[in-house]
Amino acid sequence: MRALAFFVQEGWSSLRRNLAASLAAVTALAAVLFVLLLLLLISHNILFLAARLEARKGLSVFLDPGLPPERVEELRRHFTGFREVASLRFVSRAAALADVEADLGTSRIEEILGGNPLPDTFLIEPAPGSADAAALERLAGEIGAYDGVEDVVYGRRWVEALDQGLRVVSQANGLTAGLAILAIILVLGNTLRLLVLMREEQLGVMKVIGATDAFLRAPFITAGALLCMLAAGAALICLYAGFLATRDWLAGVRFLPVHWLAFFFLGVGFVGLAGSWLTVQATLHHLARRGDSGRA
Amino acid sequence: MIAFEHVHKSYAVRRGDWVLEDLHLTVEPGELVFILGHSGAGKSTLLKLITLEERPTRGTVEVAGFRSDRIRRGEVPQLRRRCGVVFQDFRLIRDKTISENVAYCLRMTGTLEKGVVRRAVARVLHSVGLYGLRDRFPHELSGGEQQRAAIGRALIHQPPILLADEPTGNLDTRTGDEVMEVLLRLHRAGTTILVATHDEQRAQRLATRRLTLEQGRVVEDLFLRPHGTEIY
Ligand SMILES: Nc1ncnc2c1ncn2[C@@H]1O[C@H](COP(=O)(O)OP(=O)(O)OP(=O)(O)O)[C@@H](O)[C@H]1O
Ligand SMILES: [Mg+2]
Repeated sequence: MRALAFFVQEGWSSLRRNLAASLAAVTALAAVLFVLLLLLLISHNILFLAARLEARKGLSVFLDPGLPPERVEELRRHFTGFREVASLRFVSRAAALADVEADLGTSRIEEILGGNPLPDTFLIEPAPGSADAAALERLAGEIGAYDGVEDVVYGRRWVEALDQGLRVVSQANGLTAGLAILAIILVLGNTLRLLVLMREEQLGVMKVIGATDAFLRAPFITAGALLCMLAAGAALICLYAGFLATRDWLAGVRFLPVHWLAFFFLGVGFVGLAGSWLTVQATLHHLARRGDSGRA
Repeated sequence: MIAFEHVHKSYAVRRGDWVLEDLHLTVEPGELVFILGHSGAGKSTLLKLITLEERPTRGTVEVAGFRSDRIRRGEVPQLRRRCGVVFQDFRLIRDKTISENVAYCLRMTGTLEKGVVRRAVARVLHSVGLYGLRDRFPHELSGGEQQRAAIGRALIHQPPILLADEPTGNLDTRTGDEVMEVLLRLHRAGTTILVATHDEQRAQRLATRRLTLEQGRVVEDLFLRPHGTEIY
């Protein structure tokens, strides 16, 4: 523990002495990590939405705007008679808006969008035998053909669309994570090499006096880990600030949960440590080889 | 304590250009050995072989139980910690104060407790007369003061062996005497000391043994007084 404190202190003072390079490194890393966090945020929200929609099994039948009540009643009676329909509930546009507002935890949708975009809707619960995807699709097609029906959607279709989106986002995620790892290694590589070379003379002296390799390496590795943590912290603060600033417009968007953040920090910390270790190891080897191949 | 067994050392790829040739001698604990010789005679090389900063080309060096041909990589720092090294050009760490320089060397050996480090540093800096300058940086000290700081750093972990390369080379007589006084005190306390120097007069006056090198060969190995006897 005391050793850790000492190395952190040494690493920190090393960074402070090279303030410009350190700041540049933190900024570059923070930018990459910010993009990664943003994509994680998007993934998280899509996953969340998908889970909620999956729970909604039935059909939503959107009716043409301004459809006269007689026609609505006619359709309602008609559809209720279908064998595949177990129950049918009418939701007016006003009620639908209230539902959505309750879901998203806001009451300003009409104000933001300049009106209620939702149509009158029948919510249909399919009969137990007709709840599979093929039957639902057939039923949706049949109902969709009626005059006065604007569109029929069923939860699974939403889920499929979201699945598609999720796949795209998670590919972007993987790519960004890979880029982030690469960036961390490159940026740390350059910064730490600079720090090591600036201390070349001192390292030589310490080595001859009897410092172990581990003792020589540790301050640089902690410096690398510190850089990564600072960058991750900065990226997180930026993302959260952005989230707070746009919360009113992006109603319903959820921030990353704590365990995702913990995972993110652990990952960054691990890559930071590994990257630092590799660089410092390579640079010290390089110095030792250049110094004298015969030396211990 | 230190044994050279038919040690040859060459820096060149081509062997035979010996910087040190057939060095064969033993240094007992408590000796104060002055190594004399012209520039380029191999004095610094001899000291570097002791810390294994350089490896013998032929023969073996044994120091504090470690043999150059059998020592494992991980043991080299252990060997080096048995030796305090005072470099001819001080080699203090530029961006650390004098007390930080000295403390760093102690932490290196695993002593990290603040109070312990502070007390040890204070004790050593008192002993080399630099306590009042402890918060200065190396470039704010005179050559003699830097030399004493380097000695302080070499002593902080109380090594049984002290290697000093031209410790008075850059100093005037008075500051040179101050540095020598510190070495004598260590000698009286039982430390084994090897000093590489051009200073024949001091060697004659202070050493227990005087070793003269000429072009890599020992041309004279003189025991001046039994070690353990005090001089004043
Ligand atoms: N790293 C090295 N590579 C090649 N040759 C070296 C190296 N170090 C020393 N030498 C050569 O070895 C010889 C002995 O050098 P050394 O430094 O041991 O002499 P010295 O007795 O300490 O001299 P001085 O009194 O000037 O310090 C010299 O000829 C020097 O040029
Ligand atoms: Mg020399």
